[in-house]
Amino acid sequence: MKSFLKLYPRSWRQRYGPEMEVLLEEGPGGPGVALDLLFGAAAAYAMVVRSNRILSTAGAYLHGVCVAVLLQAIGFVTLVMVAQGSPAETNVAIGPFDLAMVQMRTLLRLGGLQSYMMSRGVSEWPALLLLVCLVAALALVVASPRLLRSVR
Amino acid sequence: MALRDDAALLILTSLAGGAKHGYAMIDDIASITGVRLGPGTLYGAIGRLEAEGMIEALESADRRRPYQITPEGRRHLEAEIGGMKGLVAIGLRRLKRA
Repeated sequence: MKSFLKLYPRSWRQRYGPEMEVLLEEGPGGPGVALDLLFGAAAAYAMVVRSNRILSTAGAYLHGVCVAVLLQAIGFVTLVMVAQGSPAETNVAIGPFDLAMVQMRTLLRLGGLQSYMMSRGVSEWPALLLLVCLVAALALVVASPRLLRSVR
Repeated sequence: MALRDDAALLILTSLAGGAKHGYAMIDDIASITGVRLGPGTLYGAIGRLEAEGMIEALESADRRRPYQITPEGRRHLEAEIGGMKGLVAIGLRRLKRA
């Protein structure tokens, strides 16, 4: 069980490691304690990052980059799906306004998902699945700062 | 600065009765509430409380380092408990009425 302490940040281990080792030697083990240590390690990293200005800035920058990349991937997959469904249109204009319009059109179509899928067949399932995964990843990344704050 | 979670409140309550090390805190909290805090939860809350100046570590030759509540921590605990007393009173009054 003590090996879980290696998951904690080094500065945390130096400060609280020996005390936590004593607790783990004296207390009961088990999956509950392992899970508690895992959540504790995540919270410890969040705390170390928040208390360090450089790490905090780098974390915020990385978070922004992840959100931007995921948004671009969602836009790209949406664009490909729309282009596949419109073989007559060969000119694809790319820009923020066009992207927003394409996404809006696709979202309106997804509103009637069942009829949409019936009309398009099942060949677009992989692309749709990818789109759903990307949206879920985006939601997770956007919510991650709040989730980390709520981890005790 | 408000207390953000129950573990912090439980630790402050435990330390209000005197300085304790981690294992003694877990035992004390378990005897008060029946809840046995895990080491990750306990030291996560200890780290935050120490960073916020609500508790402080005492010198120890042992690996088990005792902690004590600071005047700042005592003030926060009093404020939290004061708020809870109001909540409990309102809850009990409404339960009696229902």
